[in-house]
Amino acid sequence: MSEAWLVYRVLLKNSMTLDLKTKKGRRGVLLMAVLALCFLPTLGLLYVSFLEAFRQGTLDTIMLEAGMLIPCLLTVIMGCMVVPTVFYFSRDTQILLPLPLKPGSIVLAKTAMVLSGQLLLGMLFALPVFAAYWTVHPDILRILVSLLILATLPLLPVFAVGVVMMILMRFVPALRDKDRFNLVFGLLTLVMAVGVSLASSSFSASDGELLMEMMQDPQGIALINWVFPQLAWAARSISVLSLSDFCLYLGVTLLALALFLLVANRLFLPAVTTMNSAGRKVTRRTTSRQHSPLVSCMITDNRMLVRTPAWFMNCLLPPFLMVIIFGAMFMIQDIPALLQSMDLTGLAIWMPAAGLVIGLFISSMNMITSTAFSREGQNLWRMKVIPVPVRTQILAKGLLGTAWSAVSCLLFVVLAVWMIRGSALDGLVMLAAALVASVFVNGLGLLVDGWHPKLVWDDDTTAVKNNFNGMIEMFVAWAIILVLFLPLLMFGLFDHILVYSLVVTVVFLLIDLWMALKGPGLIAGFLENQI
Amino acid sequence: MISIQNVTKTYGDKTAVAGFTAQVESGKITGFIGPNGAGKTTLIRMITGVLKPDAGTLELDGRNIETQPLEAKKLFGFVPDSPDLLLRLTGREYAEFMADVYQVDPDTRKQRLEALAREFEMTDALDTRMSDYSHGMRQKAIIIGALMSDPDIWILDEPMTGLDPGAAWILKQKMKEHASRGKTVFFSTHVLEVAEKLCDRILLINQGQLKYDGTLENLQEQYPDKTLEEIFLEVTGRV
Repeated sequence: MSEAWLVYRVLLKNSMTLDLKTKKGRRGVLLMAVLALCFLPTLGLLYVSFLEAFRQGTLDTIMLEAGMLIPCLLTVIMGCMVVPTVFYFSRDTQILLPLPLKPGSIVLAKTAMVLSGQLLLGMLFALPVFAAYWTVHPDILRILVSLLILATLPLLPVFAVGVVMMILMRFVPALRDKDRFNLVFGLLTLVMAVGVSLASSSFSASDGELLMEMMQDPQGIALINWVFPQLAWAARSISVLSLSDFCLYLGVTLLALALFLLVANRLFLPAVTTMNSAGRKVTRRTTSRQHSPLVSCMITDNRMLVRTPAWFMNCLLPPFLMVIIFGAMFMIQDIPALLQSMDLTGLAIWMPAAGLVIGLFISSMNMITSTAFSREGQNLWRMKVIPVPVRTQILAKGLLGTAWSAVSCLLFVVLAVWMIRGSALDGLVMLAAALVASVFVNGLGLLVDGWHPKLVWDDDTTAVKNNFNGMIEMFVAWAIILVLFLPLLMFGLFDHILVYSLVVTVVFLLIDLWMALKGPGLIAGFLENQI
Repeated sequence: MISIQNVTKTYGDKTAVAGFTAQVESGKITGFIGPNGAGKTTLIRMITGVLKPDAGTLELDGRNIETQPLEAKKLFGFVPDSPDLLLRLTGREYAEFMADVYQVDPDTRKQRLEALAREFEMTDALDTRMSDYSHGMRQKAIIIGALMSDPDIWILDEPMTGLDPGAAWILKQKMKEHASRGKTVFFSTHVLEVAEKLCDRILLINQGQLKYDGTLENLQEQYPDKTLEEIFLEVTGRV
């Protein structure tokens, strides 16, 4: 046990950057505080919804089940990524395996690592539900029992998904490739998150009565009990203080822990010692034709972007996800039908304005240019060694980001035109304005990242996550949307929207021209101090 | 030829390279040796245009690296000390990228890549991503990339690191062959035996200063009955 504790302490210290004495640690704490603040509205909404539901005084057990379902679902989704990452893909595994440590100690330590994060996550989302229950039922015994359940709620889902993931990792060799795993499960996680987000947006979460109506659906309850049987036991332990249900809940949780440890001890080592052995399918190619240095730089940067899962999912994919999310939201809210019932003649004059907003918003989701130099990391010097002007390489990075932005803008424009039953001309005008705005946003991203690139990172994800340059680009773009909207309100320019938006488009076009002509030189100067 | 004239580079209070003057001649293999932190990488970075010297000039075959950067960079192929570059590319894609930036025509690049891959026994691995390569394979891929343009000047920063004996031997043969054609080979190494066997001339740097510039024979004459290792330790003040 002491061996496992020793390994756990080292792994925890290595993964957490919360040392307030260091700049990185202070930034880590600040980031966590910001994240916590971002979650506050959601948690507040949960509290209010369940408070209203519990105040009804009926179906407390079912409402508790519903409330505990949320953290369980979250831990299942996160567990699919966390368990393989901690057990199989973390660098410390390669360092730990040669050491004279019992495999069981490594397994125990890594289990503790997984639980450290998942418990916090589960408890965070279960707390509002329990707090609402305590407000209505301030019974000390119920509070004690529910505190115990709060602390153990995420365990069973984590263990269950952990067993499944370990079996998959052992017997599906293709998953043992980190890139492939990150891409497949990253996309699955995104799809699930988007699906949950869309589903939750389709009803008002503050309506406690609606929640209760949903929970009275027998099929829904049966499904929850089948997927997470422990929720019924846990809920009855609190609502009717059932000792037998509480014992059942704890017993099954401990059984799941035992099963997890058994499976981990049996399957972890054989799988982790054959990581990447499946190999990637190799396609034999012949040497291709010559490209200009500009095009070659774009092709190379694009390959790196698309083939690095963390960069693909964080930099390239978000605008496309936005198109899907907006499309799905519009369909769920039946916006097309609503628009059909409206008189949309005269909408044509709004096309340039709409295009500008689309270009600014969608392009701000794309972090390709705002991480262009950060993604080079400690190899940024490479830009200075090859016989291609640094300005040309910078231009290549800008063109790449703009090209991907253009594709996502095009998709959004197609969606918009379809919804309003607009003409091809409407689409072209919207797209032209969107492209002008898109060039601006991508140029801005290059300037920001060229000024202060994040070059010190030890894995691909760190290069793009926690990189404030992407946030700066996004916030500036959104601020510009707001600033452009203000004169419309303040000076009542809605009647002159066409002229206004055309003037703004021309201004953006001039800025774009300046960026294209002078930007690369300016950024090359910034980078001179970085390399 | 690489001409280094009174080159100086400081970082705050620390002088990384101080008044360094040397000629790396064509037709010779010049070894660049020195202890850790002596200024080898800093000087190499200045020669390759990554860093700007605070003083002095650097010329490659008469092209000043600061005032004629593109012309100078077209003249050399550089192998860095770490081969972890562009790891998501296959070996072939990396070589083609290098061929594109040096504007090597398609027929030449095809022949050259096939020949280099065969010599370094990388033919079967060319279409595998470099992230799946071992350290030695990555080193070979970087070397192949650097040689795709058949540059006149080779600048190699610890090129033998990670190479198996076969590949190291091949690289040494190629270095000798390149120098024998009147070209320039300049490489840094920590392995004194390699320097002993390969170099026609050595530059020894310590604490940013040039401590010795000449042939190994002359150095051994100055320090008779001493091995190169003992001479190195004495010159760098370790003994």
